[in-house]
Amino acid sequence: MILSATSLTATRGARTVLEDVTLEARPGAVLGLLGANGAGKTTLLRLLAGLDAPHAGQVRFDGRPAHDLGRAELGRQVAYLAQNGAVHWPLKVEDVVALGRLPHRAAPAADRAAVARAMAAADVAHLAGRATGTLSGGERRRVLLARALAVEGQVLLADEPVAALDPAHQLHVMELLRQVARGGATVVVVLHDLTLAARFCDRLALLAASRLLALGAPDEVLTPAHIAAAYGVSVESGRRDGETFILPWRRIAAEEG
Amino acid sequence: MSRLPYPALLAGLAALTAALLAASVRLGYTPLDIPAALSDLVHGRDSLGALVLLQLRLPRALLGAGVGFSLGLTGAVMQGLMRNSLADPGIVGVSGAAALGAVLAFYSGLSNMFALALPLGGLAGAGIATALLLALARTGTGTSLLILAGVALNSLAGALTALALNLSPSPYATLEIVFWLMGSLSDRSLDHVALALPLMALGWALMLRTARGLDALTLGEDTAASLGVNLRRLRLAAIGGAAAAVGASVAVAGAIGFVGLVVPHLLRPLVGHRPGRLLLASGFGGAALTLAADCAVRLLPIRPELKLGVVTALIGAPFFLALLWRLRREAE
Repeated sequence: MILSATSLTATRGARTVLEDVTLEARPGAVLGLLGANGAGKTTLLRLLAGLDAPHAGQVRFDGRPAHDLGRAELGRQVAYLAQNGAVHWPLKVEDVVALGRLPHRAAPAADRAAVARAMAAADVAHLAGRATGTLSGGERRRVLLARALAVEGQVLLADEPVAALDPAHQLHVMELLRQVARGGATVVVVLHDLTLAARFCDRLALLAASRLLALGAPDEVLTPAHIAAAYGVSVESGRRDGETFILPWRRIAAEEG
Repeated sequence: MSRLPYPALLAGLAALTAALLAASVRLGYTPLDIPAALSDLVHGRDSLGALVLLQLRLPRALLGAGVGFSLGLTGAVMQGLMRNSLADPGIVGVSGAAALGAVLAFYSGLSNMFALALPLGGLAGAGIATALLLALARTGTGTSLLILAGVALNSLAGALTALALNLSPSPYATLEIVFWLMGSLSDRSLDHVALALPLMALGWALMLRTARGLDALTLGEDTAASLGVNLRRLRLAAIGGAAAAVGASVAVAGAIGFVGLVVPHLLRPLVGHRPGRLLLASGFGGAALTLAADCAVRLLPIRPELKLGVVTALIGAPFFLALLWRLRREAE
């Protein structure tokens, strides 16, 4: 499912929090959204998910506007992993993951199979019977990712899915997202780690001050000039096994001051 | 701990409710040959037994079950909607308004003119509060703001009720109002049942539709919306349903506390903490607890008869404390 945003503008009160963003996410690929805190990443992801209506512009799924699909169809096709992963009641892990099947109203056996697949993929099958209140922060994040995977939608939107994860699970989740994309889904992921973005995303969108600063392949987007403009940091970078790693090194403002 | 399967739990609670309903019909201050009274009733014979059964015992039992179901279900819905286990049916603000309406019916002397003035006054109060809340909800106001509006309404209604008591012309009227506010099911007629039960049923139907939405809300409003839940419609159904059921309950029975708070707490672990599954279970649990308390009121050798609201709070509050104590110990 091709997810396209055209001239998206969003406002909060009198403030413009996203201005004139046009981009496209395609099936089979991972699109990374990057930008400093407050740059508009989450705002953009929420618009793409159809959770908020844009002030101006349009979001389309395979050319159809979000309201054309309807709430239920959107729920089946677009999985959204929220940034703040709260679980308000101490549900069992498998019951949380099963919430991803809520929009489907499928046969119980089909739902159970989808839940089992999602739990295995997110490496939480061994937690199935645990109450969510007893999980570590990283375990809870992975359970919530499994919940989003259980939707088995054509679009997966994930807001900082690797925050709070240890290095091994960060790599695991990024591999998983790429695998989901290779399976035919359209994946959009908000990230802060520049190396993970460079290595695991097929395309990147870099936001700065509510606008799209750069859009394209990781090598084109993650230039020192772009990173300095978006984050105010200088970077050290290199290549290993044909892949790029990028480390934030110094704050530019601090050097000048 | 292995969990009781959900259908078995529901069946058990429904059976318990039915048994307590039957016990409530059997209990009374005069001995009653129920099979004979039933047979009189069926054959249209106007015996004293048939009259007692139809005009005293049945209304009391039916209202006990209906009010209890309303309070238990509403408590579960409000806790699910707020994602907070401290929420109770009172927070929609309708119960205070219903009490105020009934008190005004007392105060104005309307209740001396016809018996149903009290519940009708209660329903009028509940209706006004509900209209205000729904007008807010329709504009897309968020859950916490709606609840705050309910709390404000409840406080205002409480203050106005106190004002009515303050200005009451006679101590006798004050006493009567205070007793009514404690909540009771005694001396209610089939008219009360006919007035309250349809509204309660409407409220139940609305609230039982929120089960899937409340399950999804476990993951927060954004995730629920991404799962296809219409949050505005969910709030309307939950608050509108709560208002209908609780408004009708308070109008016929006065304020009966703690049922809506304690019952969902008690049953939540038995349904795996799933908000949707808690609804029916809490409804039956509330009905069972209210019927049991109303039986206790009649069995206790204390005269004048204790008020039902007093007994539910007397059982409920210490029980609630014990529950919290256990939860605290488990958390350590």
